[in-house]
Amino acid sequence: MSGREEMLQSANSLEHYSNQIRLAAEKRAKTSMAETVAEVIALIDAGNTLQLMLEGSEGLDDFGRTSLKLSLAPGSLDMSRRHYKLHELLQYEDHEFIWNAYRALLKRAPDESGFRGFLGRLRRGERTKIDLLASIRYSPEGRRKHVSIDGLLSKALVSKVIRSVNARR
Amino acid sequence: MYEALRDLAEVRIFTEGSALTLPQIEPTSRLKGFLANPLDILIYHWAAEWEPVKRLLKTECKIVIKYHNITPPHFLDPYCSDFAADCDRGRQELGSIARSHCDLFLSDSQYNKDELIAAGADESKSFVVPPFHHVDRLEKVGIGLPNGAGLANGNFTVCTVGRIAPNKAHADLIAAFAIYHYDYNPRSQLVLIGKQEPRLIKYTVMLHGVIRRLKLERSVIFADNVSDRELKAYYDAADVFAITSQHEGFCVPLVEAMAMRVPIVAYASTAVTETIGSAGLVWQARDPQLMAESINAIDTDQSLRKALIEAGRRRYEQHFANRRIAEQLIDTLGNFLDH
Repeated sequence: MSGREEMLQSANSLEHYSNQIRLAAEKRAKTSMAETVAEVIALIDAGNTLQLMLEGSEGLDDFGRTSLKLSLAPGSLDMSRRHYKLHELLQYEDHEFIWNAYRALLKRAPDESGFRGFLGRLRRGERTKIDLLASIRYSPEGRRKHVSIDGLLSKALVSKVIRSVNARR
Repeated sequence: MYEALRDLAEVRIFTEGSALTLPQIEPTSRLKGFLANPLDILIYHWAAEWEPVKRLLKTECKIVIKYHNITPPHFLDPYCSDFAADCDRGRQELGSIARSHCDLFLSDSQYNKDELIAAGADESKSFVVPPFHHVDRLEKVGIGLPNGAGLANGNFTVCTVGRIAPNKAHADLIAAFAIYHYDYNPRSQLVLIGKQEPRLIKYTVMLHGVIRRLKLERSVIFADNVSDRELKAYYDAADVFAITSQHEGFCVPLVEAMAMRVPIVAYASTAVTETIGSAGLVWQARDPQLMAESINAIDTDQSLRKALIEAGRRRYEQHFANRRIAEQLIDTLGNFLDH
């Protein structure tokens, strides 16, 4: 049998199965679960998802809860500014530091790989907060956004020199 | 694509960001020097807004656009306005890129190609070449699930693969699974495999809310950041691959499911329908009862199950194996270079 004939036969047999499935679904009596499902879908379709989010947040781990908090209320840092003082960004810690650094320097929320990568390096002590701010600010995307941070460049250079001296030891 | 082309020409990959840690990949700052010759070809993989592309399109070399599509912002806006704005900017470039003097437009699917042509791309320069994928790599690795993966042995397993993002409409799949689980087969589980993005945490949390509301906490499993071995183990455990996505430019996981011999059931949408072709059950109506009945039919009717598995594997080998895609790519590029 040629490939085309096989495809045709497969399409015909699938149509037969599809008809059987459609009939079976129509005959089946609606259950209470089907009604609950319809209510949930209607909530989402209408954009009324806040209650579902509140119910969903109960099962979150620490990472999820922090991300949710930052997503709902990203903090007092005004991300529309083009100029920051270093201490404004350094005041945050851990998740919150990475989140605000992205928003201030790249004008967007962090993507998954960047967020996890930077957080891992910060937590393992491989990079300081200054190093990470410099990585973000002087990345190609950061250069395009061209946000200025007072004192970042000199402190980042000192940190880089210290790191290279330590690596040689 | 790199593998397919590297025996024919010097191929280099340029990117920004975290992918730079991979071998053979260079920063985009070196791109301009590389494209010094008008006979060079730049293949731009377009799946997001990227400001420097405007300058790149003015270089002297030949330019090929590989269009993977960009998620329409209205899906993302309720959960992350920054992300929606990024996608909006990306989609606003659609017209200018489509109407630019690119030499060739390669789209992952007919759906993407139609979108480019509607935006002004020259139809005579537009072709469909499916995206390359990692099935060859998956076929070579062993299977292995991490401790605490949460899969219950012996339970009927429905799985889906794709990032946890609102255009995938996971809630519709959870809803259909709830009907299947409670009304047909309580010894069943749903595995949602895909990256969870911090910026889409509100969407992920909303899905957890749906799961709690439908009392499925013990039967729905999220699998984030899976390795090749883990992904293969999930496909190996899966009895059905189900997808309810509302926007796909192609949908590579469908190809993986076909190759891994997992029967497919889907709601028709965007490029999902053409990627599946006649190798899966595809429903025009987004009806959870119909989806549940389909899952039940695959569970209980062995002839249907066998027909879907065979049709899927055949479609994979005839249309989507990497060697087939490489042939299409090389033919298309070859014709383009001959003119």
